[in-house]
Amino acid sequence: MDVVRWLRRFWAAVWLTWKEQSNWTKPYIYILYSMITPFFSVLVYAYIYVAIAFFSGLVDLERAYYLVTGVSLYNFIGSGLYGLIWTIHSEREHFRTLKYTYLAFPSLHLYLMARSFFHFILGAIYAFIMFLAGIVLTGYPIDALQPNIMEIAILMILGYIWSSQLGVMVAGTSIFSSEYGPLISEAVGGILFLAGAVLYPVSTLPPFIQPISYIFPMVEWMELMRHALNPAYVVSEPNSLYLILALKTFLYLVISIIYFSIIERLTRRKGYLEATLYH
Amino acid sequence: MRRRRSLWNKVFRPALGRAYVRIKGGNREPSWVLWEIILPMIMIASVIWAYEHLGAPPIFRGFVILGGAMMSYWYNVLWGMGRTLYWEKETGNLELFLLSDSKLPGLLLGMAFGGMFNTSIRSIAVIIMGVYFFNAEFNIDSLPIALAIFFLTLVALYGLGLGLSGLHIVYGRMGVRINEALDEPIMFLSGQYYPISTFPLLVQYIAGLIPLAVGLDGVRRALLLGEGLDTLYIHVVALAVMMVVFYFLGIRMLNRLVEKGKRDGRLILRWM
Repeated sequence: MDVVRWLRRFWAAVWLTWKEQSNWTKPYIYILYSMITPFFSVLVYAYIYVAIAFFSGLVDLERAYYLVTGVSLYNFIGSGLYGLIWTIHSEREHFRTLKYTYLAFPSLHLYLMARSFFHFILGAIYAFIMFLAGIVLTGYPIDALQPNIMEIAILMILGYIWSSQLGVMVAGTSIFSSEYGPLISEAVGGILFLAGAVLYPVSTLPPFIQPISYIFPMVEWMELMRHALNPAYVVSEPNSLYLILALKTFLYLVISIIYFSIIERLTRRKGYLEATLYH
Repeated sequence: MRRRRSLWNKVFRPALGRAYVRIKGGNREPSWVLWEIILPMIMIASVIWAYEHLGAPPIFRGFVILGGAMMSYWYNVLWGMGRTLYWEKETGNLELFLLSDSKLPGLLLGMAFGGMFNTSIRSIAVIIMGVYFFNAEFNIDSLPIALAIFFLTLVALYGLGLGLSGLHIVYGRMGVRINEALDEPIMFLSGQYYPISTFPLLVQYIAGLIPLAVGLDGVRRALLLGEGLDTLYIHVVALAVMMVVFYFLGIRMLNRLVEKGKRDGRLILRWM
């Protein structure tokens, strides 16, 4: 396997995403523009806590930490996931380049992962900014944080793998439906937000929703990330959580490879790569 | 008489025609409608459970449901006009509209009206589901004043949307990016999930310039706190002023941007 060639292809797709996303503007303008969304996004959710503190005087910094970390870290997963799934929709429906991409790039699966990589990087930057802004806004003591960089890096890699594979499966499904593609992506992102231990623990959910939470590796990932950012945040049996997360990630990888290869074959046979509905 | 007929033909008939397309197009597939109710409901449910986790009083459920329902009008009416216009440009219809005798504000009125109708179906469903699943309670006695404030908000949003939709015509994708960049600040400043009275005073003044923030605050005060016209007249006056000011500013901005588009030859440029 020619690694250099593989990396060059990967880089080309990342570069294309950067150009498309930034609309060929200057990097500093795009960076300034990109700061607006995460900054206000954390204000939107952190103010949920502030509003409660304002009205009832309830101050619970542990819950504030839970809320702020959940909203910030969700950006990493959500940004990558949406970016990946939207690639199919925008390339096929909007720019009508998916069939050319398919001919030019040796693997559509790899192409989607490379296109999403930029979104994951952007999501990581968003998460960092939102985390800092949220911590300051809610008054959580910054000096109490003792982030374990190595652990965070490992979890980011695992997060990229499982969520990009989830994205590949959803994107593959969306090839079959121009009408529902964007809705499917919104729905998956929404379910992760609802059931992924983002704003509240899974136990807050009604019992009939709770099993959905454990289909995705999101809950384990969120809990471990919270612990990695601040060891004072206690998780029960972190080693078991790591094991479950690693197993789920591996499972997602295998299922996504098998599922996407079946999808790809069907897509070629039915000619869906260039089937547009002009919506 | 001739002037009145001309206004009907150039503004209101195209508006009705365009609204019909938007209403028909937006509701022709029942499963889309269902999705468009469920997806915002997921976000609303998440925030309601977040409030429960934080030990908030039950009145916050109503805050969240009304916020989620009304925020949709910002996306679907105000930016919906611009996005639909951009889509018309991409599909090559815009040049036909501009060559025809009908006025662009009429066409945008149709887009706004279609967006209001479609959004209302979804928002009403969201409120009903909110009441059913989360036991949110609303004060029905104040419904007339809430509806009056809501109507004024929509008209003010239309005026604001007139001007902002010009950005989509002239700047294309950059207009879309401006739209996206403004979403979160507006969500925050409008107090989508909490009352704007929790903001510092300066932020409350800034929020007071956004029709959605004033409208949402008025509707919440009426339906959740049971306030009447005696306390909500400030909201009514503020929205009535915004309605007039935004309409005239919006028309001016739209005309200028269309002129610029014509001068720079950008009206029929696609994929930019």
